[in-house]
Amino acid sequence: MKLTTKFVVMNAVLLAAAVALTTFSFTGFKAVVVVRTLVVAAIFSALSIFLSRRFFSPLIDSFSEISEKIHSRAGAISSAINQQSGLATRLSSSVVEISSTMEEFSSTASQISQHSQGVVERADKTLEDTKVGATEVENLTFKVNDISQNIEANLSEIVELGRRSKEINKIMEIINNIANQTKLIAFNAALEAASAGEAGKRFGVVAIEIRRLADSVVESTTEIEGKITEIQDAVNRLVMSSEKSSELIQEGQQYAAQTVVMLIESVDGVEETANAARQISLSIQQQQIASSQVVTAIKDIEEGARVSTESIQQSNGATAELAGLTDELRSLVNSLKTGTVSRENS
Amino acid sequence: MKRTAATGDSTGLEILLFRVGGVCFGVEADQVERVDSCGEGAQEGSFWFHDLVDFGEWPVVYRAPTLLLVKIAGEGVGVVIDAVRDIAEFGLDAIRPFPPLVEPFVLPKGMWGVLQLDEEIVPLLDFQRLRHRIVDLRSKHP
Repeated sequence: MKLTTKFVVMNAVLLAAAVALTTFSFTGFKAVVVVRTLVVAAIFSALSIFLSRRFFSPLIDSFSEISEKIHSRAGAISSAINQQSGLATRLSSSVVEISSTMEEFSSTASQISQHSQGVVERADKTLEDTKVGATEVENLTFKVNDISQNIEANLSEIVELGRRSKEINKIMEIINNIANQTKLIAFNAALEAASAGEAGKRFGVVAIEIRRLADSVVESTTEIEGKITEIQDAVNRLVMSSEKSSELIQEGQQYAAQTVVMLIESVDGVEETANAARQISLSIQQQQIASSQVVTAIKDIEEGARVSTESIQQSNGATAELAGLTDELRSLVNSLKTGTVSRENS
Repeated sequence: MKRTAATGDSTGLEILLFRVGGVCFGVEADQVERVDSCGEGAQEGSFWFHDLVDFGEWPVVYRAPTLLLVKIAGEGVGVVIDAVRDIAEFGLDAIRPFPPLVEPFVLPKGMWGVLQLDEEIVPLLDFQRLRHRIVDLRSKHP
């Protein structure tokens, strides 16, 4: 039953009740009054129906139309809010993920910064060590030069020693020749003594002693020659060894010189590396600061997204409430419309 | 080297010992006039010892060539030997003749006996017996 119908029926009932009370109170006069009252009630009802149809029906139609529109818009708003809510949720999730990633990135950048600082320190240490190494190798080169000069001097001395020992050998040969000559003289003296018979016996003894001395000299010179030969062999070995050492030292000098050049080049390279590492460390520090700022900004965005999501949720609640209200309004309007129609139908 | 000391009654021989090709020979000192140094080769008119005494296939090397001036038939002849070892008097008991069986082979080579010297047997030479050999050599190489 629609509201207008109810309203009319209620009016009629009230009127009938008033008439009945009046009738009950005033029975003598009651027939006329009742009739009149009924007539008035009927007129009033008819007037009410007429007025309601005349004035309420368009109003109800308008209400219904507005209610429908509100309902439709509320649905659209709700749908949009739902969509927005989904987007906000995804946005919030993405922002959280980005924030987490940025925090991780910031942490990694911090670690890289620490490592790059370590690289800088290591590069500085390497640079210092390389400089020390270059200086040491240079010192080594000087020492090797000294050794080389000493070996050259020793070699000259050894060669001189060999030359002197050859001279001694020549002297020994001379002594040997003299001893051999002496031996020959002694032999000849012995022969003379033998030919002299008994008279040459003493002379023969002297000759034998001289020959023995000569033999002894020859033995000694032979021994000395043997020793000198050993010395000369040792000298030759020493000369060869010294020449080999000299060659090795020259090679060592060349290697040391190359090492110095390489170390100097390394110093340049290490300096460049240290500078690059320093620059990398600085850049990473700046990047870390920037990433921290990004993290802060993303946290702000995250907070904004969270607030936005809450607002959307609140809006969604309000929209849902609005939709409920529009449903109620539509139902009310429908009730009113139904009442009008049923009255019309009846 | 065992020697017999010279005695007043001359019971020994004065012998000059020398080496050629590693073999020690002896010759009575009376036969040698002089000992002299010899350079690399034999001097003019002198003979290599191995040409006078045949060594056969035995290798002969002269490490310290020395010239012995020996008297052969009153003539001085130079003989090149390797080296003089000693001149000493040896008792007759140390000197032995060659056995009769061997003598026909060694006497033409101028060897007349041996000298027992410590562990060594030293052939004793008589340059007078090599006279024919010197004549032969001179006729071949005048």
